[in-house]
Amino acid sequence: MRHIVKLFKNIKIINVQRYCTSLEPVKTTNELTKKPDILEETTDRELIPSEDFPTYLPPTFNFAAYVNKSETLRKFVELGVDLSKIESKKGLPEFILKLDFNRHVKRHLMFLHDLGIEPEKYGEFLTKNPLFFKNEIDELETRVYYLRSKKFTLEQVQEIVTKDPFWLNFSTKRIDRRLGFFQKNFSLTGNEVRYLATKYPKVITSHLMHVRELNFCVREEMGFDGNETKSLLLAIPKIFMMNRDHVIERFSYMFNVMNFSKEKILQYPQIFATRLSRMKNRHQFLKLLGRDQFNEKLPKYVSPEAFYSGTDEEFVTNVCDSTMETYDNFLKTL
Amino acid sequence: MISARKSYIKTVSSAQKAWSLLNGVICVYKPSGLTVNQTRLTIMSNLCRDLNDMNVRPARKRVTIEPSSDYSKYLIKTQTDLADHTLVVGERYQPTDIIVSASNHLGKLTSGVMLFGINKGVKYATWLRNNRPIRVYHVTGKFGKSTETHFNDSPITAQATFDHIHVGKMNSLLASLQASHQRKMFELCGVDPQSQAAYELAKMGPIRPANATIPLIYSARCIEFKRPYFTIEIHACSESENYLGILIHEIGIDLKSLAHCTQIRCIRQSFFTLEDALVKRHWNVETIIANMKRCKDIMNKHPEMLKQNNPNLRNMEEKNNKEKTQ
Repeated sequence: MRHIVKLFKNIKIINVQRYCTSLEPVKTTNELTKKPDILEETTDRELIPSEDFPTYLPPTFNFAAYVNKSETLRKFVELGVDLSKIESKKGLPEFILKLDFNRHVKRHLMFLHDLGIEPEKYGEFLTKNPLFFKNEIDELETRVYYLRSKKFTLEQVQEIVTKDPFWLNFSTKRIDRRLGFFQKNFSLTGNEVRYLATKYPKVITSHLMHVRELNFCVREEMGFDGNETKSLLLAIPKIFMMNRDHVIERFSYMFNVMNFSKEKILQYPQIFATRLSRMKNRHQFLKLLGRDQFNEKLPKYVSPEAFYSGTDEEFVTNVCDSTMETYDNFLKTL
Repeated sequence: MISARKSYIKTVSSAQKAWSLLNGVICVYKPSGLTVNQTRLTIMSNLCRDLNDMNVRPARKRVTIEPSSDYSKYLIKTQTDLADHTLVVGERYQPTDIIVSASNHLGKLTSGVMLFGINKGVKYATWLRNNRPIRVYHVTGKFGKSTETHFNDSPITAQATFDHIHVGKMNSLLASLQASHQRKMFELCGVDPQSQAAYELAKMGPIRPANATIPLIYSARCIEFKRPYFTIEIHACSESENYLGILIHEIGIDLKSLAHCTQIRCIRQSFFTLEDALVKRHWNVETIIANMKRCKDIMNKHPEMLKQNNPNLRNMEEKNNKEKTQ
């Protein structure tokens, strides 16, 4: 909120030299002293004195050439938008340069503010989704109403929008189809769909081909049944977006080499999010020390949690009772 | 030693200072499963990450001349030059800014000591490579099965028994292998093995090949033999991962069985040993700068690694003899 106030203050005391990003001189010395009305269309344009005419700029490769001259870009920097990242994507710099802060940007920021997104997060949001400005405000509102009508709470909607800035670019129909896809394929209840969408909204907006492929992989290749797949999806949705080969490699190491039962894997699903090399290193070190005891009914039990939680130092000192020097020397034998 | 590293680094908090120190050769331990290029990119991105976390250069100032509100006079102001802001031009240090070049090539399945030249250290890395350093490998093989690529990650093509193989047979085979390679060395050196010149060369110890493309084995011996697994230590020059795979395959055939390779580990490259190498956890600015110093000391101690003026390997021999007496 503080950010927004600051932003509007800036607009009021804006200096005389003010250019539209397309480098046309725009009026507004007097205009800006008035309280800015965002709904008002700017139609009348008066020329500003000749020294304020924009200098000729040759074609450029990056925003740096424009940023000192363009009010919109300056505002973006103040908001914390990483222009250097936007620059690397095809077509986006042209789009961003054509935006005018008052006409194209302000209302969208107001929309985010009304939705209750913290101003600190605008920068990250816009860096990830600069095409947000292509959406009409009405459409955006419809998309939020849709979520509210599906009994998402306001906090959940905020969380979805912050975690996955692209969500609002998807039309209501498309989101509905996708939520339906998850509900049908994993037989989720309404609450579970809402939980999934809030926990990891990216899985809903990701390419569904991946999800189909991983669904097949989990059910047919790993042999989990419907309920188990569902609990995996709800516990760690990320794996349904990962490369299938990596998921299979991790599973086969856990199942065939470490002899973890499927129940145990379901009990500690986080282990799927661990890199294979990390899992292998830690397991082989435990094996070397003779401490690879994964049966909870016997003494010196090592929980699968040891493979994914904590740094190497914590693992070596707490779980293995060894020293980092030993661990480093061990890593050099692999 | 670790505390010494830390105290050395405490003095460097500005990224510019750290950047100026980033010139030299480093020695890392490449884990298997990672290609040389992946290793290189990891090092580059880790360096950038750490440098950007330090105190980086703030954005420049720029002078603006603007008319005042009533256009009667001009106002001269200095303000931050947004064109130099990190959000506009990107992070101060980017992977493309750093030159990292590998001195030796290890295959994807090989793990072990690798040398990288960073920035101005690239030329030393090139010299090291051009001088054809001797590398020491521990190669583990498994009897009984042969595979398509001679490594354990490919389909099995044939099976054979291996009960008849014992250490004696293995050792005699390796000895004959070593002898035939020593003979080959003189041929590659361009001297007739029967001549006086060859005798003079041989007096001084093993010699270096003039041509880097042909693999040469200086010594091969079995250091572990637990059927079906066996490990041999190979001192070689201009070899490759494939060559070592084929070598294990041929050892299997010569012993009237079959074998494939399960692990290749490079434990030494000329004078750079495992102790000098950094494991993946240590690939950050602090330890890399400390490691550069260490590598520099090694190169200063053995300048012949960079510039050769002799075809033989006298220094290497001396070191080997010392090791043996110890």
